[in-house]
Amino acid sequence: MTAQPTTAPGAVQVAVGEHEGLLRMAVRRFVRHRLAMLGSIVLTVIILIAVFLPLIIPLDPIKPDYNNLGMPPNAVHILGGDLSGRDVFARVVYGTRISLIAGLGAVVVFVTIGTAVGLIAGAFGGIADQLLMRFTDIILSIPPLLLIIVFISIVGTGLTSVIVVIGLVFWPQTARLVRGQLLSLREAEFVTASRVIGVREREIVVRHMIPNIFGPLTVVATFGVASAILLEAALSFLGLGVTPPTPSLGGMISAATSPSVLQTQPWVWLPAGIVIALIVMSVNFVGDGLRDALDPRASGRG
Amino acid sequence: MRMRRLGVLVATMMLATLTAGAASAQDGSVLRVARLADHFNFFHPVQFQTGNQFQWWNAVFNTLIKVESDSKTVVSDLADTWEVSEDGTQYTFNLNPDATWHDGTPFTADDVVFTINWFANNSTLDSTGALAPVYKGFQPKWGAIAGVADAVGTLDADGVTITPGTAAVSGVEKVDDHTVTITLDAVNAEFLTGLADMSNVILPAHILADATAADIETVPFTVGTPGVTVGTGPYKLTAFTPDQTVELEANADYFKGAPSIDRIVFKLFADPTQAIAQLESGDLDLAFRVPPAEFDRLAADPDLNVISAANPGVFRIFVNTTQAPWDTVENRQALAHAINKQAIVDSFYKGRAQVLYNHPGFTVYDDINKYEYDPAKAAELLATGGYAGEPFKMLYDGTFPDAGAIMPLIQADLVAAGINAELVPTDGAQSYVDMLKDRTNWDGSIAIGGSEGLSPDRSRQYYSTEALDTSTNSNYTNPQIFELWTAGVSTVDPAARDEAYHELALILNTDLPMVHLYAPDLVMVSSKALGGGFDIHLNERESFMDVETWTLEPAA
Amino acid sequence: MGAYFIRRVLIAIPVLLGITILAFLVVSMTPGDPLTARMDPETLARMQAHPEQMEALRRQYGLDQPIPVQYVKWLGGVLQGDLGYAISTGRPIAAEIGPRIGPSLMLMLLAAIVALAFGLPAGILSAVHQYGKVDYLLSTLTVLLISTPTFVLGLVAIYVFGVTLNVLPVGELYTIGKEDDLLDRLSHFVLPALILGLVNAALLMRYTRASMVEALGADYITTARSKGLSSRVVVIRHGLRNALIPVITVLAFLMPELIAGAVVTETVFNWPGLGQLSIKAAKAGDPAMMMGIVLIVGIAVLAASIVADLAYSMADPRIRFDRGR
Repeated sequence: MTAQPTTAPGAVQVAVGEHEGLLRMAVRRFVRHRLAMLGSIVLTVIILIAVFLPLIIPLDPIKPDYNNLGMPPNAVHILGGDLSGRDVFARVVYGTRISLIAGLGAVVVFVTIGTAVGLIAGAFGGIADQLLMRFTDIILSIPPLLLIIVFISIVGTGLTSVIVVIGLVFWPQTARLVRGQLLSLREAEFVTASRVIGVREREIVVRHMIPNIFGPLTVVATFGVASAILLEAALSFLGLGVTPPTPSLGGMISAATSPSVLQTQPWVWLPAGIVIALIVMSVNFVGDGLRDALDPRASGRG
Repeated sequence: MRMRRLGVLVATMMLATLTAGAASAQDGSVLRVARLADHFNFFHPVQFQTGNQFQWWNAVFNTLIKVESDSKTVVSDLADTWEVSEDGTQYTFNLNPDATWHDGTPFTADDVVFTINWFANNSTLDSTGALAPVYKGFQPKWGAIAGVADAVGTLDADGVTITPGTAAVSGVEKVDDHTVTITLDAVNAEFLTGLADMSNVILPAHILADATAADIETVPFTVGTPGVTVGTGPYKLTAFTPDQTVELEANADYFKGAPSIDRIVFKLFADPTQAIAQLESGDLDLAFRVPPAEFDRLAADPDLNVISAANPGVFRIFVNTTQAPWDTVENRQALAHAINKQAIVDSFYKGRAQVLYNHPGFTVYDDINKYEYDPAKAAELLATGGYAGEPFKMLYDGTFPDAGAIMPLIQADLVAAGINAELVPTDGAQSYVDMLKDRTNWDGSIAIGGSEGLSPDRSRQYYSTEALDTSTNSNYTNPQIFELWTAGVSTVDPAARDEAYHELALILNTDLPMVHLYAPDLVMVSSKALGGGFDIHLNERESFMDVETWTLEPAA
Repeated sequence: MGAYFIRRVLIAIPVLLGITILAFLVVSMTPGDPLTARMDPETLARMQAHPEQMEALRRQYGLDQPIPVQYVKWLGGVLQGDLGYAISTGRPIAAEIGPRIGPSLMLMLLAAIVALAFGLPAGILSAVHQYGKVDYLLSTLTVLLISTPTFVLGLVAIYVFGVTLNVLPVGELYTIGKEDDLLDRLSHFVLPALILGLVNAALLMRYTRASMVEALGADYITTARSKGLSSRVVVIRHGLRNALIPVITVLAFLMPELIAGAVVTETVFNWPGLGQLSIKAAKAGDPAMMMGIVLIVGIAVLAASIVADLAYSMADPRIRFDRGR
């Protein structure tokens, strides 16, 4: 989901000046990718609904209603009621918000940490680099969900914990990527040439690295959103995620472990499952498109 | 090469997986029962129990007498017949001469005397001189026997170790190998029926002679060792995997006749809904505590029998009466008025529950405050009580099937009345333990089950004379209630008993240390192949008391 | 070969130690007092009245020592097979973990086989028919599989195969009363292994496809084709061999995914494995149990990566003689 086929840590592309042209080409490549466009549209629609719908119509995902216990879809509650009588539709909408927040939040965390660690390792080299890389190796060896469960058992459940913990699990890949970019940048010829001329190293790094890292980092971040959303859903399903009564798509599905719900009340859990799949699929398609657009070598098209 | 050895290791593990449990497979009928998971050893008198284990204790061990499925009519068990003296304080039990322990040792009056003496010797007296029993959780009736207080042990200076007493309890006497008399301190109207409870199991003297309170939790008998964990009951223990299975095999020498079903396997489930799926696919024969949502669907299944009965157990909230602001009675009363009990019963249980207006077991007297659903009244009471929006943290067992669905309803009701209710789901037995460990960490604690509805005396165990004693669930104490409870059992005159209980009911109803909500019906689901004497018992813990009469038709 | 293997194992040991140190540090931050966590309330109440007793007990369990010392003690215990005691049941952790290793291992192995059986051919097919209808179909299917949460797939599978069609059992290792029946046991594996395997098949398919596409684009392939070799020969003999090398690496990466996915699969199918145990440990806040599970899982993952490295070195002789990686 997040890892990509192993490519050499990016042969550095051409210098900054030609960048606007490259960007335009990238956009054009993205638009040509049909599934990515479809994914973008679906994702945008979902985000708009999740963000704005509650502001337009009254939706209460938390208020239980004795008259709505496990009721099938009807005129008042278009997706029916869950086992506590809460409006399923409202919970799906708010649950989507939670999933999106979790996804984006986790990405912010792991991109920040990963970039910082990668920069430090790449810039300082030597012992710091070795230690940090061994550290990332260790984290990569531990299955992500297990690591998350260990962390959750310490810090407790809740949305903030989930975001932080998922972020803590994914930063190693970003760190590797950033470090790799930094290292190959230092080796590149034009850098050596610039150094000879007298341009300061830090300036070189900043002016060249950011455009070059932007592509792969965006791709990693996008796939990271997909993974984070799935992880939040899994955690909430297991009872280790957001605390009830906060609606969560994964949490709604946990009701289906009861045979009655599974067999006779599909509206309680199926909509949440479909929405998660839609969101993650769209994000994955967008990620595919971005990868084709920004990092053509990786997909074998370049 | 190392690879080959690794390969052999892997293959062995795979084989082990494929054959786990095969050793105990045999021909013959197998009754497969679903049971909620427990964290305890096989047999554990001196640790908190949830009562879940009582079902297999029923099949393996015996008590002096037992009760029929109405949980009131007393019939014989280890004692064939019994007589009560004129003044009502002395019981003579004539024991069944054919009873033997599973290892062949004959059962005699010595075992009864041993059991009572062991209990007394390993208990202590607390600072007020009252009995501090070695048993935690459900209490045996031995504490009511004369002379127990003189036979108790002493607590060492470290406050933890007990030096067992050496004196014998004067109130129990072996007349001959098959006759024993028990003399009580005072008349106790509930003594005989109470003896049916599995906390009064008769222990084998020849196995436990050297056990003391210090090591009873770890001796082979307690942890569940086939061959050592012997009882006198219709089934013997053949295997015990904690958290997973309990396997029993018929005892052909059972003194009431060999049981018809060859084996019983209790499968422990953390989640009862898993059990439902297996019932439907034919992998299970019997399940208890079926969630109400499954009722109609299972009742329509042609291979299953769904049986229900009004349950003497309850769904209630223990309120932490030492924690502000819930130490103010008006605030507690507000809780009772805020919850719409009838709506829960009607919509969630579809009528398969009874609303409780009073402490269970007590008659609903005319002058009882029924705490009808009235959020406005609740708000008024909160104002009187000086409630300022403090949180009402409720601990509850998150693994209980209805909990996840019902608790939000209750929370919403409380919030609508102005109470800042928070839900804190915990994991099973842990919630009970957590509740008792940190007295300031919770404001309300949900408890489900029990059998208090059977008689007023049964509620007594949930209160204690010491406010912070570990057996007090609401941190509430009031010396008057104990006087009244004692008054209620120390006579057999119904009018006198009722007077005492009436006064008691009023006190508990006004002070409201516990908010009682409703009593859900007891629902069992069994395969149609299960028959014979099989029937639902009002007290779920007694369900297996007549298991030797059950029959299981062979699988088609 | 032997030397390489020994070298790999020697490198893995410090990594394993690193994992355990990290886990121990993290786990020691569990809130609450580990001493009182194990006690029942009655004992706790009595202890609280005698603080000197509490201190003695704390010293006895070594809980007054600094973290590094506690770690060393734990490590010492592990080397003797003692993993400590579980808080909730009081039983030795080794006894809790032991019987669960087999079921988890079996599940993951069968899932890996399923993943290979479906993922590899699908990836190859997609690569060979790149941008064709088959490719788009398979690609969309795989994206669907990796986008749908494992537990949703599991629940749907239970509904379709277990309940509606009633052809497969819906959980656990075996049916009581049929413990000897091998066929019964194998039938219990089908659904969970299929679900866990299919999701990883999708991942494997994506990598195989990318890898094959890259391999097929290489110069020597064009040369082979221009020599007149048939497409199939080209694909199988030349393309596959080279594409498989990164795929083996990916299989090793999949191990953590398999183990992680197993946690959810085990919950849905009530599978008595380590995943289920880790959830129990997390909910009970049992640090020692967590350490035990992390240790076992760490060993499994490292073992898998060693196996992958060995397979890698067998497939590509260059690796064996290449000191750096």
